[in-house]
Amino acid sequence: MYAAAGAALTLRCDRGGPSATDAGAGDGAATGWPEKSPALLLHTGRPPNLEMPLAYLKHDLTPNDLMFVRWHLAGVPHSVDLRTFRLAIAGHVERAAALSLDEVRALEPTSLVAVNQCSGNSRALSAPRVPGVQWGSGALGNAKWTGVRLKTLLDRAGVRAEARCVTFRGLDGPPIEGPAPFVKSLDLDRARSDDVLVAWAMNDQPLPMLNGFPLRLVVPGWYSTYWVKALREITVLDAPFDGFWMTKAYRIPSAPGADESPDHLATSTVPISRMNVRSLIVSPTPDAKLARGGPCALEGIAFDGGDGIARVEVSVDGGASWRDATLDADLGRYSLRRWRASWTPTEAGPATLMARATSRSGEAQRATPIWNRGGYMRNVYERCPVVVS
Amino acid sequence: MRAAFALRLVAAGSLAGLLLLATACSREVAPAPDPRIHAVTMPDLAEPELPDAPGRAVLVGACSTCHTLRYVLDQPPLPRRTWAAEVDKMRKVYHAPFPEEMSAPIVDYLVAVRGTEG
Repeated sequence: MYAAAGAALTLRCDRGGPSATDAGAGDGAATGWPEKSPALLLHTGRPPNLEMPLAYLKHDLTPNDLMFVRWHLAGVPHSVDLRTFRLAIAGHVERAAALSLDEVRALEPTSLVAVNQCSGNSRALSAPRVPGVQWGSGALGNAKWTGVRLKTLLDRAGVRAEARCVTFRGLDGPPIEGPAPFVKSLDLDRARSDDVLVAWAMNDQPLPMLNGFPLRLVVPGWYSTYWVKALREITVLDAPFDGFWMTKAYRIPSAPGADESPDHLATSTVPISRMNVRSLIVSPTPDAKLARGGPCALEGIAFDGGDGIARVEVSVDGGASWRDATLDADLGRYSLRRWRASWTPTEAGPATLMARATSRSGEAQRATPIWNRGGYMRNVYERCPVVVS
Repeated sequence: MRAAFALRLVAAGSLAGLLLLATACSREVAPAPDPRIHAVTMPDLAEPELPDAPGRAVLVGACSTCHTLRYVLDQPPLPRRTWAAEVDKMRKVYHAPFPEEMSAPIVDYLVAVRGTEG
């Protein structure tokens, strides 16, 4: 049931020595992971945490073998027997159920395109630095998700009047007794909203084992901590859920902007939930050498928590002036939106390209970075230093 | 007692023999894997060798039961107070199975290899 930690291979990428500094983003190739590309970057193997290099944001839909991988507990499922697998729906419902994958798939399917982004994406860019998996900006992907609405499953089971929230648990678990199993909750309104899915397909293919085969919760617009993988238990509670992964982990300052400082940590925190608006620059890449007088294509992506992207602006002078980028086709309000601009550098020397996005509700990226102890929700204007010669 | 043990050995031996026979006989007609079972093999990664500093053995013993030591190498330099809070969290909140007196050498090690005093 559990991924084994053996002693066969020496990692090539150890940074030894007390004076070693850390560049962030996974430093080793993630070779040998089932159904996953070796182009992914290895942060840790037990449990597996694998990052997508940003260059692969060139795909509007992230290929399944490039979708990032994030597990919290070392007991990661590596075998699922669909003859015995059941999705349980229990708790404060009229008719508890235990459904096979075929029974779930027989229900009315819904598809949507949505960004799947880790709460701690870009944590390695926090200043000052914070502990946790040191993700660069590649703990995200965009995919077409197909499944049944969670609401449909809840309605079939008959949620009782006293119900307050719904919890979700997967097949994973801690390697020893002690650590709390990874269980997340949504309040009843969010759980019953039309866009929350129990998905069996990513880009029209079964989910890779490391991305949650055979079923995963999809909560569009919210960070992927809620997108419980290898989902096996949906439980309706008549009280707020007080489990570790809601009350202790994945919390942000309750102040607007989720901002705090190391010397003045917020005393009031809330569970992280909706993604803030952000953009990423895909091309050129940092420190690219550009030719003076030649056209340079700028390209990137932007997304938010579900309003959709209204505008992306770019700057080629470090933020002194801005102009609009053009937006590619809209793949849905939860999808990433590709943007493009062109620039012909006329002066030699270093330059700083920047991007900032605004959502349809008017939410804009921040000019200055927020900081919180979890390294969550980075959405400062993106910067890409280049050299023109 | 000894006889019973010997009997069990014989029984086990016979069973092993039967299994071998069954395996040999079934080699030509091995059933295709059942498509309803989805199984994958995870890579068998070695633990990285951590930099040498006092407390390394204590940390390896206390932390590697639950997670790879690559978590240490993945971390940036952090202040002593942050490392102390992390180790405290692992013990009290995640219920890592090490006694409180092991915390000090673990924190010293982490500060030595991935830390700053402060």
